[in-house]
Amino acid sequence: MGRNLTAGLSLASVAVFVLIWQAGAMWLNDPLFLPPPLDVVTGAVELWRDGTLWSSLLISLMRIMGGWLLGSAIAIPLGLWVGTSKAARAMVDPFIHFFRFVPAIALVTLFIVWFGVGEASKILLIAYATMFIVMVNTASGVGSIPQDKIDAALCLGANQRQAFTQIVVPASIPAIYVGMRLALASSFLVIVAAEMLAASSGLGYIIWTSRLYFRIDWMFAAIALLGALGFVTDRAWKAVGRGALRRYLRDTTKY
Amino acid sequence: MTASASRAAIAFDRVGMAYPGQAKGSALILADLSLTIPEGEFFVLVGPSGSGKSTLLKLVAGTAFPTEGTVTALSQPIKGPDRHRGMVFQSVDGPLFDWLTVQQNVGFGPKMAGAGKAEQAAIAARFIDMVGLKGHEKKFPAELSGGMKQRVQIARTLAAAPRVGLLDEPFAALDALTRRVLQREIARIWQETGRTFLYVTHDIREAVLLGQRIGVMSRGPRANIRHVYEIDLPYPRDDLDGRFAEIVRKLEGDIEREASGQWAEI
Repeated sequence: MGRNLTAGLSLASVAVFVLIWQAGAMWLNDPLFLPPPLDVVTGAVELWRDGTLWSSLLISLMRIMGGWLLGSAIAIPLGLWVGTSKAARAMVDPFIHFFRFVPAIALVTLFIVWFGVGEASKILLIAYATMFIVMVNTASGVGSIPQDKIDAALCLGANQRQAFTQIVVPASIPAIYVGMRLALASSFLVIVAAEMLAASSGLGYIIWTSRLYFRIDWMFAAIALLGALGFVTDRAWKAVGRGALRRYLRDTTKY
Repeated sequence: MTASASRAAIAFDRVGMAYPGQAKGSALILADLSLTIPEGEFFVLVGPSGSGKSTLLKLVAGTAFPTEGTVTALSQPIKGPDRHRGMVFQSVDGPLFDWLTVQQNVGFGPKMAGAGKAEQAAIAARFIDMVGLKGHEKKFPAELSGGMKQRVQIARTLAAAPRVGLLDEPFAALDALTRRVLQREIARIWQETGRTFLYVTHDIREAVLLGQRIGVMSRGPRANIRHVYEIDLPYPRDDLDGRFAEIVRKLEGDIEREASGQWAEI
């Protein structure tokens, strides 16, 4: 399929969805239950004009990016270490496989108690959610490097340290990349939960607060923007994969 | 023959090898194996699957260690993998560094040895040319055919200037036509470089095409080298030649006779 055709199909399917939504809303005729798309746009414009929408979007994005990058920065070296060393694996494994089943949402209140209602608790919560996904992916990426690749490097004169930096690290990049992409998606789940409970800004805060004013259209606007933000960040990460990281990824960025 | 040419590039002395974790003497893959390969020789090991041919290569590469006996390279015990013993693997995709270009793959050995960028490129260019990959320097492994990938492996191994080249059925995964072409080229490359080659295969015709001497392994467990044949045909060898066919037939006959009891199950 050509590029134009795929783009056209995507556009058409979105258009059909909006039309069905409009028809459904007209048929139900209850804007508190399902506001029509046009009302949502009006609500969004209203929030945009007073600056709430833009600042909320930026603050949510800042928290997501901060937590995601911090979590990855901790998880990647840890994952590489766990993937290479049996001793490290034995020590770290119990914690990984315990905490990765404790969802970040369960820790929201605890993190607020520990780190306050400010930015720290939200960024750390996202870092927590990111860490386990990236770490497990990284470690399993290291584990799936063919032994021949490492042996080849050693037979070409690499020492153990060089085999790690020149072979293990670059050969793990596809697994790290995929892990970070999955973690980015889960960051969005966590940020909304955190902003609903303790925040005075952010898209999650808008969604939560709109209910006080019966502004279902605002709620829809923030939800739509959240989805759009996720879509854009995922595309941006994909562009990084196809750009700067291209030589390491090749087949990984097809979807 | 010079003095150095008569030195042993590799020597196995009563080598026994068990799978790790098993008691000494029980279930040895290799047992009481002795063999000396002089410098500059093209030695081919033939034997059935599971006879421990690849294990033997790993002992030389330094990625595995004998349970009994010793393996030495130029009289030095082998302590681990290093640049003096280069390995060409059977796997076509596994051993190449996918994120590096052909040139960077081939330049990896010189880079590890501390060569500068220009020197890496110069050495890489020489060996890329030797294996016939000129014009493909900037390509990534994913853009190459199976035969071209094995050419990259050969060039990369030689560029690291090993004293011994270890080749583990390097063409087994290739189509018959590509295999024929590369078999001829590996013989030419061996002559050009003058290095010691230890080549493993299960194909007797290939062994006779390449080897100055051919060691025939018995089937494991307790595999050993039963016979060593001297092949005094000139290079390049012609497998349609009468003498060639005669040698292949003799080898096949000997192996079958020898194996008649031992290999009854195949």
